[in-house]
Amino acid sequence: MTTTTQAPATAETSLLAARAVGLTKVYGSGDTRVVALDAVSVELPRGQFTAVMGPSGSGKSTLMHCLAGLDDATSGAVFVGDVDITTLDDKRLTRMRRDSVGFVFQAFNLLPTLTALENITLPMDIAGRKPDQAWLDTVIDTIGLRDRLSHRPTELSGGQQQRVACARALASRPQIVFADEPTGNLDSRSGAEVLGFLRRSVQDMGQTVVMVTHDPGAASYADRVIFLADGHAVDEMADPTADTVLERMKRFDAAGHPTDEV
Amino acid sequence: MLRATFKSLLARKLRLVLSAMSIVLGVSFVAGAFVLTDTLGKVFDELFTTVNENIAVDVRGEKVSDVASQTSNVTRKEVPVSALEQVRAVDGVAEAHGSINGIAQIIDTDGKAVASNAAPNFGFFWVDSERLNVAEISEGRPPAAPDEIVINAALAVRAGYSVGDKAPVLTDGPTRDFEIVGLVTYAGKDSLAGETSIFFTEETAHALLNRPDTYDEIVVAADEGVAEQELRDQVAEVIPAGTEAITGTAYTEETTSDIKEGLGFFSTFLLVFAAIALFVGAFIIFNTFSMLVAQRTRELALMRALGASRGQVIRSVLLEAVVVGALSSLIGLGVGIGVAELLKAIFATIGAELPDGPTVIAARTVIASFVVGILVTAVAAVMPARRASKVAPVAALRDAATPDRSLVRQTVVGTILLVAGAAAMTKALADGGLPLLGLGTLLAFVGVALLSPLVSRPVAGAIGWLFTRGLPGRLGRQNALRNPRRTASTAAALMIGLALVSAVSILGASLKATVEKVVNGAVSADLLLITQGPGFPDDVIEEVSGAPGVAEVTGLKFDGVVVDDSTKYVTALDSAALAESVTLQTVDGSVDTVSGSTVLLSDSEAEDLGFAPGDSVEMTFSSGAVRTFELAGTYKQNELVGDYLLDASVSEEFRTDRNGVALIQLTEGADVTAAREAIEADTASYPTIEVQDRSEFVASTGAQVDSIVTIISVLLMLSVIIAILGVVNTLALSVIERTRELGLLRAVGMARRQMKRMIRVEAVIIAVFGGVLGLAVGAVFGTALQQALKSEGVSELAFPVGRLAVFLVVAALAGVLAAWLPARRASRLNVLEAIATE
Repeated sequence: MTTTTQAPATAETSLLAARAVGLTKVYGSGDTRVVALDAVSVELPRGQFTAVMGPSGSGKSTLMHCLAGLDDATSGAVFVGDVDITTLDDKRLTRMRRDSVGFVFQAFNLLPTLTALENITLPMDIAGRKPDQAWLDTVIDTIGLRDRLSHRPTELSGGQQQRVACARALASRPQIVFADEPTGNLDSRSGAEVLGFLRRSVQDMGQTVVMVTHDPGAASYADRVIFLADGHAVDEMADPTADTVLERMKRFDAAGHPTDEV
Repeated sequence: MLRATFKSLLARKLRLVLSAMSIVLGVSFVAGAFVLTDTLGKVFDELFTTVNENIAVDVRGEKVSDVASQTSNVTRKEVPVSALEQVRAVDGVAEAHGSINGIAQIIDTDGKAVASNAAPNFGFFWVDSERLNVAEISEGRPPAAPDEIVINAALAVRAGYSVGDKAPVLTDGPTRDFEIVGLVTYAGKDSLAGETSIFFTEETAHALLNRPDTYDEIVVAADEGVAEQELRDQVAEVIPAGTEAITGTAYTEETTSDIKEGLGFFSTFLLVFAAIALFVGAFIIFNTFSMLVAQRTRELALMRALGASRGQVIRSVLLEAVVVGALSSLIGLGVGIGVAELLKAIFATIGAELPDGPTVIAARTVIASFVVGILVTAVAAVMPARRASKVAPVAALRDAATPDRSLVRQTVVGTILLVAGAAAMTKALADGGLPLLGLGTLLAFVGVALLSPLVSRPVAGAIGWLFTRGLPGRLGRQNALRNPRRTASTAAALMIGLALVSAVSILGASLKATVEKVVNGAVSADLLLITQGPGFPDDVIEEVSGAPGVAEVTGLKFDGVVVDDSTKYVTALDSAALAESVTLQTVDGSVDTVSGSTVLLSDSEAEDLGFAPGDSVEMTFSSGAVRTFELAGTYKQNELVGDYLLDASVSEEFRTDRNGVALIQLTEGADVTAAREAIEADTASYPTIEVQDRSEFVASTGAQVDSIVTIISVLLMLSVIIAILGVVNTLALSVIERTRELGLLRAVGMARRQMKRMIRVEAVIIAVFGGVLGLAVGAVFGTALQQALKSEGVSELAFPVGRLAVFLVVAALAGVLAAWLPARRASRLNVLEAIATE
């Protein structure tokens, strides 16, 4: 009977790839106590490209780590799909990361001993699963590196490496892809390639992508921007452009701390 | 620069502790060997000084040969009883007593002869003298009647007897019952170094210990104020030909120097293993410093950029090594003293209880420990230090990745060392010379280690195929192949121990195969009588001959003789046996019979000495007699009968007339079981005699070989343990180096279990690679040893396949063990910290 009372919520949340409810993250204790996230609640709808922005120390990376199951929450809940991942033990959390989440980090995304293709299929290999060949072909063609598949990471440029990382994140058809400053180490042309690819994965493949960035230009590729400051989700913006995001960010800089209401 | 060195030492203390452990273990073995032998040396020194305190002069027979017995390490003529009165008549002699140093064993309450592996089982006669008899009656009274004995208190405890009990005693003849009328102690001690002593009356001793009218020696105490040298000169004038007199001081010195020589061998034996352990330790140090230098490329480059000279960089790395070496030596010294105590305790459990004495830590021990520890560490760090100095300042600005250096130079140097080592070993095996053999082995090992990166990719790759099911296994394999140099040098450390163990095992198996072939080829006897005791008299042979089903019994008597100034071992047997129980393969002349005036030689011995049938061979026997024999024929070398065969009648010149082995031929169609039972009944009064059939004889000989191989293997395991530490070290450093990779793997969903498996596979591949290298090198060494010993009679080459396979399994398990902590560490990595590292 208890499940039926939750049924409406399920119907509603099935449109969400992930959400955080009252998510709080505290580091240290006593004098060194730092509240990185203070009761943050965000919803990440399916098939959307969401950018998370905020000044340094705003908690944007912590938010992503908690959403992705890389870090545990002090209180509150994090749902990936319908599962509250804060209740999972390490084993299940690991499996959740493997099967339901894709990652693109700022740097060091690829194992140097594996070829590009092996890196792409890594999560499935870890799971001991065969990749869906048709989907894999689609992903590989989209990143446009078919002729580089047998190369090792050291033989690829930084942009190519990040595109391989994106392909890996998408190859297992995760519920959600998290990208942490994916263009942080790239020149603008390579960065644009990577962002364009993430954009297409949302538009053409229906993927859900959450990207942490401090670059307004990068944020402009997203459908929506969530602004974080001092551990609070302070603002949101739909259909951002580089200019509007930059404007909004300037207000943080001027104030030094959040002045606006949510 | 100095401060920077210490800072960097502290920063990486955990990693250095691991590598330091390898030096600690090696040094502790060095220190342990010295402390133990010094302590024992001092104990025996004091013991014999006390025991011989009142002996001013010792009269004994002249030396005949270097043939050792349980009671003496040379063979001497005997001293006629009549000499005693002549000595007593000399002016200045206060007291003089004859002494017989025989062998006697008591049969304990369970019917077993009390024997000690490490200390003699003496049979003496009781001398009533406070000055010249170190034993004191602690309970009861001295023996007075022919069937009375006193025994030392420790023996009474071991055999389970007390004063008043009747006990069977085994000497040259059959066991005889004696009444224990008293117990003795030595200055309050129950036993001297684990020895057992039975004191008879003089009359009984002459009869039982085979000295009808002779003594082994006469001990003399001097009147007050008479100098021992003076007294010796006077005594020397009166004693008969064939005997000699020495002063008490010289006598004590001789005894203690004999013991010290024995201890010296023992200490050399232990030091050889210590050297092997240190050699392996040097590999670990080399690897650790190489890896640390590689990790610190940026740091070193920064120092260079800030103006540090190359020399300063080298010195800083070497200083680090010296500090590690010094600390390891200090700890190793402490552990070594503990090791010495432990070995003493082990001796006590095998029956060689050592008299208490203070632990001797000589200055030499301390100096050797530190010199060896520091030197090995510093030398092993020289190459890494040089490499560190070659880091260009600009590397500080570049990414840390340094290109893999070419293997060409390493290959050239490795080949040269391997060839030089092989040449030295070949020469050493042909001409003898332990130091050269050691040097050759060392060079060969370093050569193989330098060449091993060449094969590490294919071999480790092939081993890795076993684990390619599943991604963790594949990644582990790739990681193992990633740095062939590191994999190879880590594996090389393990190779050394396993190569030596394999070589020893192959030699052991070859020995066993040889024995089996010899026994089955040369002995047609159905049963054999074997004894661990002092041998058995001809009476036994006669008695067994009468047992039902027995056709023929041949006793073999063994002794040493001197031929051409060197000691040779001869066998005497009944000529009739040559047709029946012993099969000889004729090489030259005739070997069908042997008489009192002829001798048969093995072909290799005849060749060595340049003898041909018809030549005369002169031999000096233990009795002192010199006899000449005509060489009748030569036979193909035969381990059982040895190189010299004489007729049984010649054994009257032997040190003992007892048989060492008897060969029993049964009648055709005899019931073996019944015959065996009858023989066992006949020999019941000789508890040390064992009846064995041929396969049992082969097995018991094999068991002796096995136990020696086992002892050596256990000692070599020390170097394997050190090598395992090396694998741990390499893995730990790899885990640290790959923190970000591991973090990434965890982030994209690798489970802890999978991560552990990945590290474990890497470890197992490295370890099994070391094992394969070890077996390969060991097979070559073992074969070389067997070939070199072919002329000594090891004619067969055998590979103990099962045992060698076990070594591979041991290597694999070593890998699993070594992976334990690094794998745990890797699996517990905090994912966020790992991916955030930079």
